[in-house]
Amino acid sequence: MFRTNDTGSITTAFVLILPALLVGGAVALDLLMLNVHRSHVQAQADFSALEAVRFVSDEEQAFAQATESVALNDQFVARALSRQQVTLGRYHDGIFVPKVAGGPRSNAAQVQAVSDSFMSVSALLGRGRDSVIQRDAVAAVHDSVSFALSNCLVSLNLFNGILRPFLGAETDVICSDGVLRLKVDALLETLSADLDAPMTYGEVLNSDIALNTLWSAALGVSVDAPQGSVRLGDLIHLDDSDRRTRLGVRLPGGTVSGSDLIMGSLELFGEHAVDLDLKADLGPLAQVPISLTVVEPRRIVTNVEPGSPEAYAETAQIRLGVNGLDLLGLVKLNLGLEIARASARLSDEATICTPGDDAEVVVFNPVTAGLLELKVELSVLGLTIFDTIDLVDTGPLRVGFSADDVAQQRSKEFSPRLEGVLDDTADEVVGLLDQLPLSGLTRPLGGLLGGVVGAVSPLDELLGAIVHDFVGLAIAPATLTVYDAECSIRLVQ
Amino acid sequence: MLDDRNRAKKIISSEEGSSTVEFAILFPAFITLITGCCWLALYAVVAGNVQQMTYEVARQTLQFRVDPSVSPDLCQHIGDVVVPAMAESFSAIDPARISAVRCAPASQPGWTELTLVYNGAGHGFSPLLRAMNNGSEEIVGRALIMGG
Repeated sequence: MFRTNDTGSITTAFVLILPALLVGGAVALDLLMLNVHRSHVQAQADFSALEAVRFVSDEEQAFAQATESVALNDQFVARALSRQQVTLGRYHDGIFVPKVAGGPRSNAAQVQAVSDSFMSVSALLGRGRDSVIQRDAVAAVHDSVSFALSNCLVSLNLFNGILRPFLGAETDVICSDGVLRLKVDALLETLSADLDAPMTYGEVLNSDIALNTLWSAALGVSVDAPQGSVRLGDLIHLDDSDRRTRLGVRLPGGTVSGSDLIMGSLELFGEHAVDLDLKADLGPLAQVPISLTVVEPRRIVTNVEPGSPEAYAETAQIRLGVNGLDLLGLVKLNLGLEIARASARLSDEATICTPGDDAEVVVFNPVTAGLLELKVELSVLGLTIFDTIDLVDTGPLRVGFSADDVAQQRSKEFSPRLEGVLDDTADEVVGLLDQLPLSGLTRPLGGLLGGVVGAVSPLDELLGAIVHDFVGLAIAPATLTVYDAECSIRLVQ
Repeated sequence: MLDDRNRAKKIISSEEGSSTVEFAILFPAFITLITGCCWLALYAVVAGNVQQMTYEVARQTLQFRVDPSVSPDLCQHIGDVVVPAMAESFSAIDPARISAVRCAPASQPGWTELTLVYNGAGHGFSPLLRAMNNGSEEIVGRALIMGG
C-alpha cells in the first residue's frame, strides 16, 4: 500500500530535483565568474603591458609601472608580477623577440598576469583553489617623427634666378614662416590623380611627377614650372610599411614643407645635369657667371622612427665655381666652394611616448652643418698658385625639442660660426697675392695707394670683396623644425 | 442531509487530484527559483559586460594617447567617442542606460580612474541589485590607467 501510494510524488520529485537544480545553478554561476575572472586577468595583462611599453627605454620604470597597474586593478587579485613576467623587447612582423644586450632598442613589452581562480562548487567538492588563470599580452609602441632640415636662404640665394621667371612673387615668400606645409598622404593622393592608377603611396613616390603638378601642389596655387618631371621617391623617404600602405589609408603624421619640395625638385634636376648655373653680384662685379653643381640633392624624411637607420635628413651637397674671372687685367681667378650638407640624425635618446611636459621628446644627435672647403686658384703671367682653405663647421651638436616646442612647431637654428668667417676667409685669400710677382704690376695700376706701405691695393680690395660675397652666397643658418611627433601604442598580441 | 455529509467526507478523504494540488502549491516556488536564477544570471552578465566594457574603453584609451595632463581633452574624447562606439558592441548593454562616464585623477598619484556607471533600475534583478548594492541601482565598472 505504502509502496504503491503515489501521494506526494510531486513534492518528492521536487525535493530530489532541487539540490541538482541548486548545484547546477551554482556551477553555472561558477563558470560565469570564471569567465569574468579570465577576462579580468586578460585586462590586467593588457593594461600592464600598455603601461609598461610607455617606458620601453627604462626597464626599471617599465617594471614598476606594470606591477602597479596589476596591483591597482584589483577586482580580482592577481599574483604580484615577478621580473620574469615583464619582458621588454622588439616586436616586428608579428613576432616578439626579447631584448638582448647591444641589440636594437626595445619597442614592445610583454606581460604575463597570473591569478588563482576560486570556484565555489569546486571548493565544496574539496578542490578549492586549484585553477590558475594565466594570460599574456604584448603591447608595442611606435613613435614617429616628421621633421625638416632646411637651409632655405642658401637655396634661395642660389636658385633665385632660376625660380623667379616661373614663380614670380611666390619666390619671395618661399622661405617665410607662412610657407605651405603639406600632409604627405594628402600630397601623394593629390599627385596620384595624374598617374596611371597607382595603388600604394610607394607607387606614387616611384612615379615620374611633372614639375608643374608638383610645384602647384607645393604652393597651393597653379604655377608654371620648368618642363620635366622628377621621381619624388628620390627626395622623400618613407619607411617600407608606409610605402606599402594603400592610397586613401591615412598615414599617421608625415608633413613636408612646400619650399623643400620646390628646392628639392630643382636639386634633383641639377643632379641630372640640367643647367642650373647662376649669376651673382660679387663685390663690384655684377652678374658674374657661377657654375652650380648639385652633388647630391637634399633628403627629406617623414614619419620615421627615432634611432632607425633611415631617420636622418640632409640638405643638398652643392659645388659652386667661378672660372677664369679677370681681376683688373692682372690676375685670373678660379674659385671652387664645396658646400657640405647639413645633416641631422634623429636619435632614440628621447620619445614622445613618455609622459612629462618639460622633458625633451625629440632629440637630434649629431647635428652638423658647415662649409667644407674653398679652393682658390690664382694665375699671373703663366704662374699659378693653388690653395685649399678649410672652412669652419659646427662640429657635432645635440638639438632637443620639448613637447611644447613640437606642438608650437618651433624651429631651431644652427650654423657654422658666422662672425668673422667671411672676413677671415677673404683675408686668407688676399694673403695669397703675396706669393705672386705682383709688385711690378700693381704699382703702376695701384694709383696713389699702390705705394703706401700697409695700405690695401685695389687688387687686394677687389679680391677680398669677391671672395667675401662668393662665400657669403652659401653661408646661412640651417633650420631644424619638427612638424609632427606621434606616438601610437597598441596591443599586438 | 446524510448524502451531503457523506459527500463532504468523501471529498476530504479522496486523494484524487492531489498531484495537481501539490503542483499548484510548488509551482510558484519552482518558478520563483527558476526566475531568480535567470535574473541572477542576467545580473551577472550585465555587471560583467559593464566591467568588460570599462576595460575595453580603458584599453582603447591607453592606445589613444598618453597622459591626461598632457591631453586635457582625453576624458572628453572618452565620453564623446569611445564609450558610444563601444556600447554598441556589447549585447547586454543598453547604451541609453549609461548614466555617467567619469575620468578623474585617482587617489593614487599620477593614475586616472575611469568609471562607467550603468543604470540597472527597472530590470527584474533590481531588487537583487539593491540588496547587494546598499540600496543603489547603479552598476559601476572601474579601471585604473595611465600611471605617470
